[in-house]
Amino acid sequence: MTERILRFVAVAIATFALVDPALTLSGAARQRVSVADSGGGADTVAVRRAIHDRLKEEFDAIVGVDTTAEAIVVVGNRYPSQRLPEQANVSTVTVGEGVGPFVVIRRIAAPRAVPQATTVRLGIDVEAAGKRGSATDLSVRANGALLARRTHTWTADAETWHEEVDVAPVGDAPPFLFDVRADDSQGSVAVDAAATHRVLVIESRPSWASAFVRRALEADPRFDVSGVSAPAPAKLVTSGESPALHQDLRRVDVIIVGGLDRLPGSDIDTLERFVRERGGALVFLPDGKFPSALAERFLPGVTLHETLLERPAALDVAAAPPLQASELLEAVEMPDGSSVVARSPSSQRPVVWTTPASEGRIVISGALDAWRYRGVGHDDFDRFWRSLISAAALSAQPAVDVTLVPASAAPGERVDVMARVRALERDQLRDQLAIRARVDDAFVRLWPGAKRGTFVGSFVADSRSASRTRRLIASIAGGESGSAPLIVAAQNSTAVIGAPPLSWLARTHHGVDVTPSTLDRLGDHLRRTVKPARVTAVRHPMRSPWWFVPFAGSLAGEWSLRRRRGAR
Amino acid sequence: VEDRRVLRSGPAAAVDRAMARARLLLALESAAAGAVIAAWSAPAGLIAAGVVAVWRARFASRRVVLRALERADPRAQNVIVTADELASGVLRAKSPIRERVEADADALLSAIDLRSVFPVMRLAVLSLIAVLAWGIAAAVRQRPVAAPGNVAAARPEPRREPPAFTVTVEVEPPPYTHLPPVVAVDPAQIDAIERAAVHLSIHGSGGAVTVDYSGDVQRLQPDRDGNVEYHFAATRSGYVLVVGSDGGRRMLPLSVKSDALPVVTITAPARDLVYEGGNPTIAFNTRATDDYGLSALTLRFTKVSGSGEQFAFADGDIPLTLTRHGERDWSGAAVRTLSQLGLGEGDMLVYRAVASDLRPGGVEASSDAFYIEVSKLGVASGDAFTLPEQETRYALSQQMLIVKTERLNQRRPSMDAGEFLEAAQSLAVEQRMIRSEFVFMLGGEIEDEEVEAEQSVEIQAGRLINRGQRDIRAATVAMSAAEKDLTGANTAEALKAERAAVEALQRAFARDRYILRALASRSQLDLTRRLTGSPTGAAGWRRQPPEADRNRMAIALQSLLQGLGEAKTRSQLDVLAEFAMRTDSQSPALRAIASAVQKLADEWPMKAEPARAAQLDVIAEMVSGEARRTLADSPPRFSGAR
Repeated sequence: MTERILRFVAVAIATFALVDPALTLSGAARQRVSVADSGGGADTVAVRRAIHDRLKEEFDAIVGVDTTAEAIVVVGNRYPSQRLPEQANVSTVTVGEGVGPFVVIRRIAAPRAVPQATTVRLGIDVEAAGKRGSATDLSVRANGALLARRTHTWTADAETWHEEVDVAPVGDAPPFLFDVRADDSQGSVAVDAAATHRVLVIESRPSWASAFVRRALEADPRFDVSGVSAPAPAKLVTSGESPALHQDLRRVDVIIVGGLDRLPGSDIDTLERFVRERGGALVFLPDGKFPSALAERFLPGVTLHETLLERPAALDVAAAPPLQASELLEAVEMPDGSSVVARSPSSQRPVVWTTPASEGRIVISGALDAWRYRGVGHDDFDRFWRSLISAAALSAQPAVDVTLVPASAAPGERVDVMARVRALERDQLRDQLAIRARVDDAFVRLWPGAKRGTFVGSFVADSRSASRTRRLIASIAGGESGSAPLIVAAQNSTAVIGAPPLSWLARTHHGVDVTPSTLDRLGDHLRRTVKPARVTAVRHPMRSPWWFVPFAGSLAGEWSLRRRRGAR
Repeated sequence: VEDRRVLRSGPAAAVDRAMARARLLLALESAAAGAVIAAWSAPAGLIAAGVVAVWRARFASRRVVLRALERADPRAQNVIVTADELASGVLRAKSPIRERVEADADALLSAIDLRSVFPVMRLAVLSLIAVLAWGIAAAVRQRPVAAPGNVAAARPEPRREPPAFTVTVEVEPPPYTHLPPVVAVDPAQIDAIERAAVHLSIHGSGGAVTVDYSGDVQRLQPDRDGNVEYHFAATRSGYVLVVGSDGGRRMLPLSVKSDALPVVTITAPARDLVYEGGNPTIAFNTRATDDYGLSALTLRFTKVSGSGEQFAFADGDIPLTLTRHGERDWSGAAVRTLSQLGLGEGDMLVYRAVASDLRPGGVEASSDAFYIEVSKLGVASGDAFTLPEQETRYALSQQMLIVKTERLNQRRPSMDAGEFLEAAQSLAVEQRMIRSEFVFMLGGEIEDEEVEAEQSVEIQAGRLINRGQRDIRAATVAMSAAEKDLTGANTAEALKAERAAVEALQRAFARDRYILRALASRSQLDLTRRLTGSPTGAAGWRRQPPEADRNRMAIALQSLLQGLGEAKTRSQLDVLAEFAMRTDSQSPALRAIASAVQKLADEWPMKAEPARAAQLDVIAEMVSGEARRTLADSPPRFSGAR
């Protein structure tokens, strides 16, 4: 019996070894946490060791700055000189007393580009600590000229002041430079000049909803408007340079569609490609019920509800000129990532809204009869649509999108480059996709990134010319290119905005600031934000050499028993 | 000491008196000599007086005075000198000898006349010369231009600082305003009432002056006094740029305030009245105000008699009893009955208050028009007066034009050709205004998609009857034809076209019709006839959108901001002030900006750097605010956008 069992085991092992079955295993993996010093001497080292010892039981704790780690803990008493990624999860342990009261410009948000003769809106965040009761002056200058001035009195020990400032672009563009100063803290931002917005208006039948938007755009030199309207079957009224829905989707940035119920199916396919591949902005201007064919293709899962008001009402508009309407198409639900431009004043449901779609963007106007009240408030109707369509055009993807981090760097500082090639060009070039980048005359080598169509690299900022800006230009085959300006600042990118305390690093990087006596909070925060990674692994157990031991043992035992009973 | 005291009582006292006289004369002669020179220059006179005093001092020494006394009497034989030496201790002698010498000297000195020894003649001559010199100098200074050969003219003129470059502005308001003239030197802005006379006196220009009055550039030569005069009538806002040949310049924004028309209101009855009949009394109250003064206030009416398509018109005035609350605020009242107004069944009276202000030309302003109608039907319909008011007004206006054209046609034989043509063209203008107002009231040309859109709601609701539109279009076409005929002074043909227009309007405004208002009666629409046309004749076409204008103002303001950021010198600011004013001199904001920039330019040399920077910041903020108003709105930022 034993003999048979041993023989069966040996055969089974051999059989499984030949089959080589694969097993999929899943489990939790420890995440990497980086612990680094930033000033503070021996005390800091001691605290850092204590933290490292605590964390290594739950995390893969390493000493030193590792920007690829899931979380970074900086221990010390001063802001680190090394730049950390903006999206990194950084917590701080302040040793000693840190620094005194401060005011620092935390962020200057600006559009990447604006068309000619357009106001630039800067969103400025100023943070202060220990300044309760005192006032801070904020000024925005361009080319030395004062454009705007604001004053804020701090009411708390730690406070963030947000200010939206509309300023006029000044200087020999591009780019327009804006210098922001709040007390001793200063920062600069560059805004490029956008090209004329290329807009195509398609009206499958005459529609006042789209006709008056078209007219508003045609009267504005910032827009290059083409139009094609079908007043009767097979009869077209055209205008502009590109009055047709071409297969070459690069000709326009925005397509406005009116008379949706008569839109041919072939056009719908092209519009979908326009959004998905070209990354363009598609604007739907219905004047009645939204056609189900379009809703299924472009707005899956979105429910639109029609509301009739007794009298026209001004929509709740946040960042655009006012708009009035009485027939509303309200969105009951919107896809994730959507932005609301105008809401119904009564139900607060979105009426004019936009949502990203693939590479591009879709804008839906539920203000069905807004055109009827275009005379109200002087030219509010025209201003609203010009502003909205301009924003849609600016959101359209360029062939090559270039991002520099930081956007303002001191000579000698390293600047990271990320270039992203649009899907349309990616699909056309396929294996031939290559990119060339240069800053002035110096070439910058870009390497393929993790995602398809992305390229990354870096270069060192210099100050060889008198200009305050440099421009990185990245080009691909076919002549398409993209660029981004770099401000060459007099100071390091962290020094430019002031000398913040170490705790500011945590507040700006999703982390917490603790002291050596409250390290438990740090542990809680890391456990909450750094989840163990669920990893899945495929194993081939029969490939282990240890199987030779039972295999050989079974064979040897079986042979020994057979010999013992006299068999051969 | 005892001896000197004794001597002082003897000959020594006489010597002291002589010395005092000599020194007094010395001082007076020095002063007189200095006064002669001071006529040319006071400092030189002082120096001259000092020099003369020093030079003449030796003639007032004791030794020289004694010698002069000795020379005055030949009998002295050195007795006076000896007596002085004995008194001063230079010589020693026994008492008898000493007493003898002193007695002889005393006797001699008593006999000497000091006026002859030290005469005043020289002093008198010098004084006379001084008086003459001062007289000549005064005469020379009073004469502006020295005559050739004049001694004073030959003398070089003393150096004087050139007078400062100034522009004196006198604004003389129109006489009817009874406002006093306003004079200002280098004003920041010229504020004037329309038609005011503006006088500019430019001083210290150093030569010819260039005056740029809102683009009208003139080069003016100075008069004999070096001044330049410039006059103009202020008709519209703008600027005056004065540039002197020595580089001095003044930018003066000109703000012209129009004389507003009087504001006239009817305070009672202030509503339309419809009477069934009878003879009710109607009280009319009116009020008129004006910014500078009123000249007339009256109640003007047009009485419409008749019905259907036959109307008769009669114009007239109702005199008002005026109550004046000063020149600028008048009230008027009148009371009339229907019979006094001559209104019968079916008649209508349209009235309005009319006021004129004091300005020449008698420009009139009128109040809203109201009507009084005697109509049983009108009373029955109450507020829902079925005849649309606006449209009726235009029909009536067209009828009035026919009356005017008929009158002109009748007067043609008594008028010369030029006068007739001018009158006909005036009627053509009136016809054009009626037509344009009519078309504007209806929302524009029918072919225009704006109007189509406006009416589309009505069409969709079935509330618009197409026959009415056809009649309206026919009326506007006839009005165009009438205007053309009137322009060519063809009143006969014009009358035909005008009547055709009125007929078309009356067809369109018949009471069973509706124009842009709810139907008075329900009407049946033949829906089977809608959208039954054939599209086979339709063809595609290419539309040419109007060319969009560039925002030149925004570009200019951006350039101005850039210039302010780079401004480092006064001349740069001068250019910026001029640029701001030329950009749009009609804009009050830009005039204020230009004025502020020019003011800073003028004060630039006197201001310290921080004050300059602060003022530049203030101006830049002004420009930035105006730029934000002019620029297009900032596009909203979408979440997740690039």
